[in-house]
Amino acid sequence: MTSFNPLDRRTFLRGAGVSVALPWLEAMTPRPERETGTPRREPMRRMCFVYFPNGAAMPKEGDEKWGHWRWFPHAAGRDYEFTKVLECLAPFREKLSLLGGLSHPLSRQLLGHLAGDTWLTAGDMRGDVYKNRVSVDQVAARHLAKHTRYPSLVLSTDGGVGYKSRVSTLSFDHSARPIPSEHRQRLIFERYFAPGGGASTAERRAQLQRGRKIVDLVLEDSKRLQGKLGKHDADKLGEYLASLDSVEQQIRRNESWLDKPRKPFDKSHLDLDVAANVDPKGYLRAMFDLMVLGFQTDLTRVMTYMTGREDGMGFADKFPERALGIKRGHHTISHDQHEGHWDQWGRYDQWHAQQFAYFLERLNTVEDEHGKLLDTTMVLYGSCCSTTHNARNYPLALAGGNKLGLKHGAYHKYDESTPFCNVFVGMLNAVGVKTESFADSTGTLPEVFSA
Amino acid sequence: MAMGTRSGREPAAAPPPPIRITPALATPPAIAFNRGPPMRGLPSIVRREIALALTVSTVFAAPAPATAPWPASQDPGKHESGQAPGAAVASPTGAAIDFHSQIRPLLENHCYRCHGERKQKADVRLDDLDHTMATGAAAEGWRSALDMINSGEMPPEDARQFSDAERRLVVDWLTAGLEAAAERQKGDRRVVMRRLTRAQYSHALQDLLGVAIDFGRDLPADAKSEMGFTNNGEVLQASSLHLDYYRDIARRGIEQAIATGDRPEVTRYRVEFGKGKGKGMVAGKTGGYQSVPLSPDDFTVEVLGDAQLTEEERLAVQRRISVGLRGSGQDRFRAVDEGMVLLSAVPHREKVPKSWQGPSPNLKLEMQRCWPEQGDFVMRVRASRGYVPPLRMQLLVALDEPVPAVKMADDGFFQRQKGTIITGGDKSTRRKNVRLEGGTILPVDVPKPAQALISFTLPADGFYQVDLLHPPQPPSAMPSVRLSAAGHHLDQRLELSAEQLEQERVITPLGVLGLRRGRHSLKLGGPFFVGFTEIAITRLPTEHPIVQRLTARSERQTDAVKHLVPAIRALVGTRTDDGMDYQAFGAPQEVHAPLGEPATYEFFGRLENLPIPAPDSGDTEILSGFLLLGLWNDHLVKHRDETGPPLLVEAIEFEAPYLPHWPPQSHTDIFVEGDRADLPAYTRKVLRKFLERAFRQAVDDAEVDRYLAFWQSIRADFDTYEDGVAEVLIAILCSPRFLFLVEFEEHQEELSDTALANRLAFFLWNSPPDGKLRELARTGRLRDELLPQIDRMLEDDKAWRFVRAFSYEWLRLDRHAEMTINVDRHKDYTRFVKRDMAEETYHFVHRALHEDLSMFTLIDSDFAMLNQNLAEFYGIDGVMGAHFRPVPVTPDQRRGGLLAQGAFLVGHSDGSEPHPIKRAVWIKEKFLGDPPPPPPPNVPDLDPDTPGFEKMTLKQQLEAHRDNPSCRDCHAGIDPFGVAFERLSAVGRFEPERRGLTIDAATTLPDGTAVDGIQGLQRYLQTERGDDFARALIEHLFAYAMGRDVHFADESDIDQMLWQVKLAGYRMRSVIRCIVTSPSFTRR
Repeated sequence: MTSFNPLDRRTFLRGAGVSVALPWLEAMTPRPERETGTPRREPMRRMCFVYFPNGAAMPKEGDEKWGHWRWFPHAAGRDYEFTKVLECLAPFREKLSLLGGLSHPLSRQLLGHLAGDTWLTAGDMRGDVYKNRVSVDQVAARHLAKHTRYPSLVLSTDGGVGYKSRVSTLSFDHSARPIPSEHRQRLIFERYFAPGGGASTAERRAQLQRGRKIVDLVLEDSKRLQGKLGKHDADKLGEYLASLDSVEQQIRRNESWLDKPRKPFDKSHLDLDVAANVDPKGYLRAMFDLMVLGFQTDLTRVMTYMTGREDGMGFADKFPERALGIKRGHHTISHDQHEGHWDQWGRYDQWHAQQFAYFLERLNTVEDEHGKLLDTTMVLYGSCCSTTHNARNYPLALAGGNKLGLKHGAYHKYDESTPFCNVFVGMLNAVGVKTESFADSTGTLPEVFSA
Repeated sequence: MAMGTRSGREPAAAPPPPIRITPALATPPAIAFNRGPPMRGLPSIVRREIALALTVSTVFAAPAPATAPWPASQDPGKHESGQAPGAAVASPTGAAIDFHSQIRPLLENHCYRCHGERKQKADVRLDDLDHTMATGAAAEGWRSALDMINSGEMPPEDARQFSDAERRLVVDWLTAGLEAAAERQKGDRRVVMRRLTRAQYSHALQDLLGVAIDFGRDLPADAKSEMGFTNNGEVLQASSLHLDYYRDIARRGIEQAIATGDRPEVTRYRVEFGKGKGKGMVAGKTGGYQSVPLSPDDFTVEVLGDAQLTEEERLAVQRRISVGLRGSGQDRFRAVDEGMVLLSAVPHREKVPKSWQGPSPNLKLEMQRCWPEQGDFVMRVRASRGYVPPLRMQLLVALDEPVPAVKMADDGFFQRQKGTIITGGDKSTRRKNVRLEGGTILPVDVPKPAQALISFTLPADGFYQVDLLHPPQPPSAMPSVRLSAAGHHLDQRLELSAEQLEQERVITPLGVLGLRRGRHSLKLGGPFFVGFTEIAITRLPTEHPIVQRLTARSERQTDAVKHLVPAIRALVGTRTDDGMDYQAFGAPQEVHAPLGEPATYEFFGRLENLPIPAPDSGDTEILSGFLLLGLWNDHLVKHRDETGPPLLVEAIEFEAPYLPHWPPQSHTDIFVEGDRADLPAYTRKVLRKFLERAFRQAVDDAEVDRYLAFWQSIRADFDTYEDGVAEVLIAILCSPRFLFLVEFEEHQEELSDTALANRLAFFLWNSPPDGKLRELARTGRLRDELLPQIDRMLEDDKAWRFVRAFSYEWLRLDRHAEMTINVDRHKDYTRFVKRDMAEETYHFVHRALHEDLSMFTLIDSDFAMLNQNLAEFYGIDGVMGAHFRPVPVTPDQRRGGLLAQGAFLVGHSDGSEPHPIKRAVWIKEKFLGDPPPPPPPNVPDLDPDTPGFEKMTLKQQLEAHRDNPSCRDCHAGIDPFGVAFERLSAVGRFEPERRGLTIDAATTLPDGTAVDGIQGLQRYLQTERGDDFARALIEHLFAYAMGRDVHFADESDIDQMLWQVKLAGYRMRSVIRCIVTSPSFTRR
């Protein structure tokens, strides 16, 4: 995500990838349509991803705990019954689809922990080098950036990018580099929601103006050259001129954001000083509150949130102990075989789902000019392995977006001929990215996404 | 060259006219174009006429002449009528034929049924194809129709045939129409202004700034033209995204090139190795899963950089630097008095998780969060030849073949046998994090390390195999065992078969222990411990291979490899959870320094280009943030029982950034010598120099003034003078004059000399022109010196840029790069074999050009470009060392020519088996210039329901496929070319049998020629299809050189080139000379 600290240029540019390198381009755009005060007919289209590590409890059929603690319901279709794990999602049943059997084909042979690097990318980690790809949220962000102050918000409980094979971010830029995630809620608030955010407005303005001067000069130079060319070459250069124009417009939009007051919002319910290692529930909910606020004020339309890192790293491993008094780390629980381990894992999955239910509940309550946020926001919730590190049959729940053409209310089970990326294609299409494919997709999921 | 190889099927209506030889042409009359069917382009009659009527100079015969071979009067573009002489004789009557009354009815009768409204076989539709041939596409369509009729392929044998008169009428009409169309469309063959490709952009910036960053890496991929080239002006788009990238990349490059402020602080660490050398000193030790740390007793760390550190800070840095050999077998390295001995590396298994371990052994400095993130760096290795260390009794190694030494008895426990000590889990002591459940030890907190101690008494010195009896666990649970004994530990992650997972207990061999007689103990456990019921310790007999290997006398082993030379390959990487993401850098260096007289070997790299950990990752995990810098002994061996020539490493030094000069030359190249008292005047000088280099042409004062004015307007925004100028330079690097090849201005008829220099440089170097070329262009001498310049350029190292870019796209090496080989089936296909296969092809093409060999060398050759690793993979002995060199090969070794090279064969396999159709299509496209039509939609796969399908060879399966009428028409013309390769496996090795069946590579090509195997095919291509191959190569090189695909109207030019190439004996450089001196290249 963009940051506007008064970094020196070198630090600033060396940062991890395009999003950092291009804050004054992709960052902010006004919404002329909304300046008039009349609501647009078209809804704002948004997407959001919430990840939990280490998979979920999936006792086998026949296990005595199967009835209670299997993450997925027992039977597919519209008439499924939640187990205890997801029953907290019952109020949103008609705005929710459960997706079973999906996984990234290239990750199936990998350990679930490593597959975590590929949840939103479908990158290839099988071979001799680390070959990751752009993540789906960043594809959407590039498309939607022109509407909002920021192209996307990349969040996690741990911050930063982690390291290859054990990342702490869900988002990868178009060069497949990890985008640093943010986790300190007060800083997030000050940076993105406070007026003037981060760097001083004057400095930012100077930065934008320098950028514009360059573009103006290149534009002038290009036009001069174009005048000298024959028709075909002039047409070819026209492409470049058009791109210069659009960059210039983007800079103008970015400048205009500086003067534009933020949409008023109520922050009385925000508690930004919850420590993740003390009060996990409070911390997760505060993050979800910030995310809702971000959507509500149309700060951005794309967010990712990695609630915990794989393999017992980071704060989230202690969540079961802090929240439920289970004297084991989340990762340990996911490996356990002692008696009662399904109860521990199932209870934790249930607790985590309850925090997610809170997020849905907020999205389903808070409205913008198009109605409930949830109806225009797709939220994909899930993980990258089912039971212990088995990188197949990811636990996945896709909620929201009823006004974007999504059809909900059922638990769909797929076999392994359907790659997980088909979900991404559907989500990209739903936010207006006209693509027929993402990574190794073979289509979309017609049961959920209207054609 | 034989003529009329298919005379039996030559259309009767088009007999070749007598060949006219111009008197000036001192060549035997037998020379003629011999294009086997199916043909592209004008009918052979026309082509022959055009070519022969020309007075072609013979200057192409080597050695290179000093003048261009295109006399102005012979330039077809210059003819008043624009018409090549002789062309008009082809069909005096054709123009008078009326399409609607005379031709259309014939086509309706003979063609439209399969190529009309209802059916479009082979994706061809004629009924709505514009009969006026007004567009290039329509003309192309008619041209292939003519080729098919001329060659007799259409109408198909089982369809109604034209009468001779009808055929003549159709052919005449087509011939005349195409000829007229070619004339009309000559003006359409234009080069569109090209944006630089990713590679060109990188090279241009590197050359301009003197900074070796792979700048283009982040740019969006360039699209390919129909002929497969990315440097095509039409397909090279520029989006606003490009501009974003260009500006940021330029900024990054300029910041690296110019020096503002003081010389940056240099980090320098030196690590020296030696048994016991580090005792009492401070250094790091990094543990973690599967780690193989070197004891800090055996190395020292010196912190030598610029930083002024307190004693405490220095010690803190020392603690962050450890030495690891993760991925290395304990028997392949040893700390000795003189340093570290590394035996030859055994490549890693290409399967996760082991594929990330690095070859065994590999030695790395592990530097945690104490390294710079950018800049050039140097790694200095002090090393010499080594020796095989003497036998070490205290030893723990993995097994070469994991075969249990003890069987399971019927009761589900180990079978009791003499010479084996068996102990139950219940007898273990000092247990940690485990519980005993029904006689089986199981972990409590699975991810946490578990431990159980087993004590035992050995009756004699010797080597003992350790086997474990344990409950099975699926791979997803990461079942693992750490065996610790004899002062070492060995981590294994178990991969149990589906069958084993069904059993109650399974046996896993853990490793081999070397121990003296007496009382010992070993520890079992580690994180994700799988648990165990019993452990068995079995003495191995002296004749066991592993015992033989471990007890071989070191002097004898050292002596056995003394004629071999160790080498160093340097790597940089990031530690990952189960290995490292790494990349080698710099060329490998052979180590000839004798033992006791070490020398220093330097390896240079650029941190930004290598997989270093993400800067500022924010991660504080104990095992994150490690930059790995290391090496392995690159005299690779294939088996663990070979020592290879040992390497002795005494010290490794890391220095970054590497700054031999300050300010760097990149800075002084921009901020040239000059008087800064008059700053605007000085700046004008700086800008003019940079502008001319960046824009690759002279700039006028007004242009310099504009940039100077820009500088004046922004200079106040910047703290330093250099930063203000840098901003201007960034703008210059976003100008279309830098990013595009601007060749023509409006109303300009001919290419300027400067534009020609640019075009030539981007052709033969894939880079901007150097000073010499610019100078020749500036002084107007370039056109006279084209031929010597071609030679100079091809001899320059930058010709590699051309060879790599062109070969990659022409030969579709991307398919090889993307291919995932099934390593269960082809176990020794390692990443090093893969890398060397690509290098083989590049070196081969480079040699053909560099030595100006016959282009038919590309089809078959009596040499192969090999290094030791690849030669061994192919089964060729006697090639030593990592460098590529020509190696003589005999025909029965099947390694001559591009067709026998791994890069082609692997790229056109399915990863497990060869893929004859892919291989055939490639031959037709790339070698014969005759791409088959794409498969129709809903094409059925090979039908596995055919009786006995499973047992068929692929060739038989294809034959079954061809029996399907909907497939036959096309595949009869494709498959035979692929069948000829059947004895070359998916990894390019000779394989006379597959799945127990003898491979049959005998086939009959579409023209009726019978060939058996690749040699037969190569002979056929060289003797029967030589001109088709030559034409295809010319066309591809021409398209690449011009940055546009070959146009229908280029045919006559291509014909002339083919003619000239033929006269020059089909030399590789004659193709280049021909293209560069052609009117298309020099003028249009």
